[in-house]
Amino acid sequence: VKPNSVQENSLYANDIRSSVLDGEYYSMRMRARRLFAGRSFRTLVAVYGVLVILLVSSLLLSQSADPWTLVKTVVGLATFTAIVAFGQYLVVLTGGLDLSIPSVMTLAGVMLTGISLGSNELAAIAIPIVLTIGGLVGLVNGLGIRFLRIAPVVMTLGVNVILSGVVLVYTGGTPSGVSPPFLTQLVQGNSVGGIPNIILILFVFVTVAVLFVSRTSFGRQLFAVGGNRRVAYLSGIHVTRVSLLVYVLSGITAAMGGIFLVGYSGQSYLTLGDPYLLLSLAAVVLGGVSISGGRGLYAGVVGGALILIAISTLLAGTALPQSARQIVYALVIIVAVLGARQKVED
Amino acid sequence: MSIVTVDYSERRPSRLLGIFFQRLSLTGTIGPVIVLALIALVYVIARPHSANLDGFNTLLNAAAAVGLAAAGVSIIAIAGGFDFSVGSALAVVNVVVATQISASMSSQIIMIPVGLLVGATVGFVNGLLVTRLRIPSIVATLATSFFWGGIALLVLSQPGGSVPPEFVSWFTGNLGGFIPGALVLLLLVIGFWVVFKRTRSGRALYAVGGDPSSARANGVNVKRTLMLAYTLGGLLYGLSGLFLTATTASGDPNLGGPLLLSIFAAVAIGGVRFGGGRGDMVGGIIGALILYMISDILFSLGVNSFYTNIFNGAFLLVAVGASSLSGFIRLPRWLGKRTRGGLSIRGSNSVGGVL
Repeated sequence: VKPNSVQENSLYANDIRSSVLDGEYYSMRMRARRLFAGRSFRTLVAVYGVLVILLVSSLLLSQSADPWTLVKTVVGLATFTAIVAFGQYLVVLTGGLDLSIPSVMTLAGVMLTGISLGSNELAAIAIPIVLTIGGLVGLVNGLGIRFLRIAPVVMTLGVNVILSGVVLVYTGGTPSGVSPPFLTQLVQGNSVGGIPNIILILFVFVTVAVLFVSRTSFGRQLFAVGGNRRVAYLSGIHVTRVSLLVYVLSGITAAMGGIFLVGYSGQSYLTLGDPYLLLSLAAVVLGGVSISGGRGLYAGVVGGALILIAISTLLAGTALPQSARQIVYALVIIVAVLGARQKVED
Repeated sequence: MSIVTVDYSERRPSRLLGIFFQRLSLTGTIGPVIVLALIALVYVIARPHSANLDGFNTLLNAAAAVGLAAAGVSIIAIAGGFDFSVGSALAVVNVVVATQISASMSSQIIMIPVGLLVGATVGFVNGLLVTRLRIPSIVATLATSFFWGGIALLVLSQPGGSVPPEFVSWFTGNLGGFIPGALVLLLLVIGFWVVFKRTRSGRALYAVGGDPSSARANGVNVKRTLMLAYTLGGLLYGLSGLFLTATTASGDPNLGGPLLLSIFAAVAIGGVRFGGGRGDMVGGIIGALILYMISDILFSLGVNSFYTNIFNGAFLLVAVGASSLSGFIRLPRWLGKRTRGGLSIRGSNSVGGVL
């Protein structure tokens, strides 16, 4: 156990005792005090502060764009990263790593178009199938890590390599079919008041995810397992079930990301998921989640995803070449990690 | 821990062979070596027409670049680190060499140290981030993988550039007409490693990977050891990048991405444990050879190349899963960890016995 995580563990252990064993909850005041005084809250302020600065500077740099268009673009594009990064976040929170996300996304994409072939009726069958397959892939990851004792990096990497082969075999090298019309409409359309559907999707997803992590006993168990596996086990937490479930959920969110990406681009392609290996991890890191587990908020991860997209939007509006985007990504990640650590040392 | 003290008083060949296998067994390289031997047997049976010098040369040329990069990752993994930036490092070496090289002999010769220097710089920066700024290696190398990927795109925005034929033949040709250049290169690297592993720094690498705080308590300079691991790893990326440039004979800023997962797979198949302290640099090279042999065997069996990744991935998981379960299996005495009589083995699990 690292010394600086002991205090937080005892905090979560209290939470778990009260919520899991007694079924009691903290009073609202206690909750509020814990939220605003916590290190995680300060990280959130920093993440969203940086985001606002990025958005304002890209507005200033490109005189023509109005704020609403910019927000629509950034939030819309960040949705895919934010959804996929939720799975990565859960896995990282429990001390693992999921490198199988890109292939799960691509497989979900090509299977969706391959089964539905552009029809809404078939999509009603295809989407549950695709989500189930995502969950099953996650289950395989979890089983290998938990019972064969393969390191998470190696297990999910191996599964990723296998699935990239499965994608090739399934498609024969060229994905068939197009996005079902309702999905295209869902992702690309606008709802009442001109708010793009994609932003509503992100809003609903983030709300459900945040409630899931902060208000359910499973969410609290995540922090306990990530903070200290042994203490969690001794506190009566089913550690195996938690570690399996995070990978299953990561598989499902990766499949969801693949489905939405198909809706966004209107078709599927073999490199659909490739950027999201590093993007999902970068969003988790930028969001102030500890890579060794047990610490971090999903709201921060969403902020991280938004920052990544805001940077590329900002740079797209300037004369800088695309290569500058990656260099800026790198510097932002390093500065963010250093900034997060400074606060810990206060 | 791989450090073994052996009583050489009995010098019967069978005993020495036993010692050799025990050393392999302790580093976790015994499995990969046996698998390599079996796969090589299948390779010869499945492709009798390739079981000659030309076939061997082709195989080595294909596997050497991934093998050298995997060797670099292995060194870092043994010291307990992780490196996402290897793909970008290869790309940056590749584009620098492909754009700067000219037909003159002097420029071709200069490009070799330049490539090595670029690779070592990537590793050195990773080392600085991990040791000085104390950023977890996964995060630090994730950031540098973006950074060097961006630099590679700055140097060469689209695939292009060309490499003179002499440069290509230095790496891919046959020395004296029959010894493959790739083999010489790999043997040089392995020779260096065999010596390095027995030095104080080499032992420190395993000590730091096994348990940094015990290593520190035993007087190991952890930061310097990690810097050394990342820089040596980077140097091997440089070598791998040079080799890759020679085999592709052009520059491509995006060539690293697809190789990243193969390199990690080679490291894992080679018996190197991500997390540190166990494995051997040679394992990375063996892992790469195994991967390329499998894909060649599948090809000659007429299996659609689409299935190659499925086999490679499944093979990776079976190999790693089997080795992690092997703790439950009693190995024969000449392979096993516990022995009686003329051999004594110390420090198989504790760092205390290392120094």
